[in-house]
Amino acid sequence: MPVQRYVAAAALLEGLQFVLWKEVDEGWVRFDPTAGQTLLLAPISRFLLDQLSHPGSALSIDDFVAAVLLEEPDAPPDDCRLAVSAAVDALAAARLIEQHRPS
Amino acid sequence: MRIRDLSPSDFRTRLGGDGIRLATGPFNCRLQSGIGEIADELARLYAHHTLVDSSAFTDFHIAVQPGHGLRRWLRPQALFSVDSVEPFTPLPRAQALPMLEWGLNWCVTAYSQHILVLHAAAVARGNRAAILPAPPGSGKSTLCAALVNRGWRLLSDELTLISLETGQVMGLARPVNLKNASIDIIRAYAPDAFLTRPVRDTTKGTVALMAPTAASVEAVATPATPTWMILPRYRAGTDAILSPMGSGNAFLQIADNAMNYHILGEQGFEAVGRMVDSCQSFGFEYSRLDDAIAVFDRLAAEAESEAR
Amino acid sequence: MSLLVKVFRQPDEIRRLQAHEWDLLVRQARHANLLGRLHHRLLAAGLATEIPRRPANHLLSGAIMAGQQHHSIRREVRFLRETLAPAGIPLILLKGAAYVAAGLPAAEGRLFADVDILVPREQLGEAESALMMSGWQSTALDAYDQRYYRRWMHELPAMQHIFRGTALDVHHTILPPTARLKPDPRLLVEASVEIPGLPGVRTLALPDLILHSATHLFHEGEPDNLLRDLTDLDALLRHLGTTPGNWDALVARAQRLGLEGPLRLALRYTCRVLGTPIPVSIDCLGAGGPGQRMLDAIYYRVLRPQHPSTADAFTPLARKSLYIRAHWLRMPPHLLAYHLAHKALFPPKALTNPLSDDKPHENPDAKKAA
Repeated sequence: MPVQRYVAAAALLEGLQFVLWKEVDEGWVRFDPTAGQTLLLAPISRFLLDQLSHPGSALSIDDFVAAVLLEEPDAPPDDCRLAVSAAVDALAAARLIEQHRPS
Repeated sequence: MRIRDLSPSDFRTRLGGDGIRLATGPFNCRLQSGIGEIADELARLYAHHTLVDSSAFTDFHIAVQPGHGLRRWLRPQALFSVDSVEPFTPLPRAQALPMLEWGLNWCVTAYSQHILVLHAAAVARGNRAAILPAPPGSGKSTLCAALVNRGWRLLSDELTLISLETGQVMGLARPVNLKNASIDIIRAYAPDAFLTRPVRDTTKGTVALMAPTAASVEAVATPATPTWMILPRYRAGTDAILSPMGSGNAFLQIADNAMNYHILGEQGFEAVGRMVDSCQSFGFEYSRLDDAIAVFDRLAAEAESEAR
Repeated sequence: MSLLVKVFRQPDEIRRLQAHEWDLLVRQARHANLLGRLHHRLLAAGLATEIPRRPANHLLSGAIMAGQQHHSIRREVRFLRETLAPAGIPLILLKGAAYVAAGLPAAEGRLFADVDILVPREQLGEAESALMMSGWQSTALDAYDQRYYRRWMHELPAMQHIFRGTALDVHHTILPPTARLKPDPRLLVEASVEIPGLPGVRTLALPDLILHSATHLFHEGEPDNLLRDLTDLDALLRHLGTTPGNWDALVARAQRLGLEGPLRLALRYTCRVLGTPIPVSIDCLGAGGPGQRMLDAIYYRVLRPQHPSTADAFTPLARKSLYIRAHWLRMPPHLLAYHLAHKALFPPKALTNPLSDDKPHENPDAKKAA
C-alpha cells in the first residue's frame, strides 16, 4: 500500500513572504495577510509546516517523525508519533496542508 | 466649559437648534434632537463632558429626530442619522436615548479604522487599564458599572479604543448601558449614580443608561496602558476566581473581540500582539460584585507595589 | 464648484482651509465614497503635514478600509482563477478588480463593491455552472428580474458567494444587447492582457478599461457615484498619459469599437470638472449638438458630491432625468416603460425587515462606512 504523503496547500505557498509570526506561551500565532487568516499553532505544528514550505516537498508521517527526532534526539518516539499525527490532523483541518495526490 | 454649566433651558434650546457640541474622548460630537423629552436625562448623562466650540472640527454630526409624516404622532418613531445617513431602521420614540448611544457606537465602529476598536469594556486604576472583552452573557456591563462606582475610572463600556501608534487605551467615558436585572442591581449597589428611567421592549430587553462619574469624565484625556486582559463570566453562586490565560489564547480572544482586526491587517496583528505582551491575561468567574471588585483591587495593589 | 471638487483639482487649496471647512470636506468626501482616494491624492501632492489631526484620521480610516478590501479582492481573483481555469474559461477582470489586480493608480484608496469579469458569450452557461458549483449564487430577486437580465442585459444577475459573501458580476459584453452602441466583445477579449506575475489572470487592455469606464459612467451611472466614477477615469487617463502614443491609440480604439461618443463625453467632463490634463491635439471640448446644453446642466449638477451642502433647487429633477437617461440609453423606449412600470409594483423586499437581532437593524442601503 503506498505511503500517504502530505503537501502544503496551494494557499499556503502563495504570499509566504508576507506571513508574520508571533511567539506566545502556547507556541506561535501565524498571521497570513494574503489568506486573511490568523492561527494559533503549537511548536510542533509550526515545525511541520516549515518542513513543507518548499514547493515540491511531499512528506509522510514517518518523514515528519524522523525530522522531529533529528531536532530533539531525546524525545520518546511513540509520544513523538502521537504528537505528529495530532498536528497533521490539525493542519489538515485548517487547510494548510493536504493529502498528496500524485497526478 | 462643561454641559453642567449650561442652564436646562439653554441646553434644550441648543439641542433643538444648532446642536450640543461636546467631546467624547477623542471625538467631537454634535448632537441635535427635536425629541424634547430626552433633554433633561441627556444633560445629566453627559453633565461632565466638555463643550466644544462651533468653529472646531466635528467628527460626528448626529441627530435623533421624530419620525416622518404620520409616524410623528401615530406609534411615534425616532430616527437616528449621522450627516444625513440613516444606518438604522426607525425605533419607537420612547427608545430615543438608547438609540442615540447605539448610534454613537455605530459611528465609532464605522468611521475609525485608524484605531483598533475592541468590543470590550475598559476601566482604569491610575494609568493602568483592565480590558474586559465582552461576549454576551458575560455580565460585562454590570461588572463595569460596579467597578466604576468603586474607585475605577471608566474608559468605556462597550467600545475600547487602542491607539495604533502608542498601544494605549483612549477613553470615551460615555454612559454605561444596563439591561434587565442589572438595572436594579446597580441601583442598589450605587445609589448615588444617576440612572435614566428604564426603557422597555427594546431588542435588548429593558435598558437604562448610567452616567459616568465626574472623575471618569474629567480624566478622559489621560490615556491608560493595557495592563490586564480579563475575560469575565458571570456564574451564579461561584466564588470570584481568576485563571491565568496563555498569551496565545489571549491573542485569539482579543482578535475575536476586535471589531476591525481583519480590516487593519498587519497593523491589527501588531497591535494585538503588543497588547498581549503588555497585559496579564485571565479568565474570570464571579457572582457577587463585592468579591469581584476585591479581585480587581488586589490586582491593582500588586501592580502598584511591583512598580515601587 | 463644491469644495471636494476644488480640492481634487487643486490639492494645494487645503493649506487655506479652516476647521469647519475641513469638516465639510470630509463629509462631502465620505458621501462621494472618496475619502480614501482623497487621502492618497493629498499624500501624493506632498501635503501630508498640512492636514490637521482630526480630518487626517478620517481620511486615513477611509484609506485603510480600501487597502484591506483590496486584499479581499485579490483573494477573490485567486478563487475565480481556480474555478474558471479547469473549465477552460479565461478570467478577464473588469473595472475595480482589474485596477486592483494590476496595481494601477486608479485602485489607490478606492473601495470597490464587487468583482466584475468578462466571459465570452458562448461560454456563459459553462461559466455560470462552474461558479455555482464553487459556491456562487444568483441574487436576482424574482423570476422577472432573472428574465430581464438574461434577455436584455449584458451581464448575468449579480452573484454572491454563499460563504464569503463576496459579490460577483459576470458580463458578456460591456453594454446591453438592446443599447444603441454595440462594441464587439470579441475585440475586447482579443486585446486582453495577462497581468505580469499573475498567470491566468487577465484584464482588458488599458484603452479598453478607459472606454469601459467612460461607457459605464454615462450609460449606467448611479447619481450617487458619478463623481467617484469620474475620478476613476481621471486616474486612468493620467496613467495612460505617462506613455507616449497612448492617447492616439485610445482615440483609434474608440473609433474601432464605435465608442467615440462616450469617450468624447468622458474627456469633456474630466477635463472641465477635474482638470484632467488632455493633450491639445485631442479635442476634449467637442462641438455639442442642441441637446448638449441640457445634458451639461444635468451632468454638472449630478457630478457634484451628493451631499446636502451642494444641493440646489434643480438637483432632484437632475437626478431623476439622469436615471431615466441612463435607462433610455440601455433600452429602447417602449421596453423602458415596461421595465420602470414593473419595478414600481414590486418594491425590493429588503427594506421591510422588522427588528429582531441584538443590535438595531442596520439599513441595507447604508453604504458609507469609510
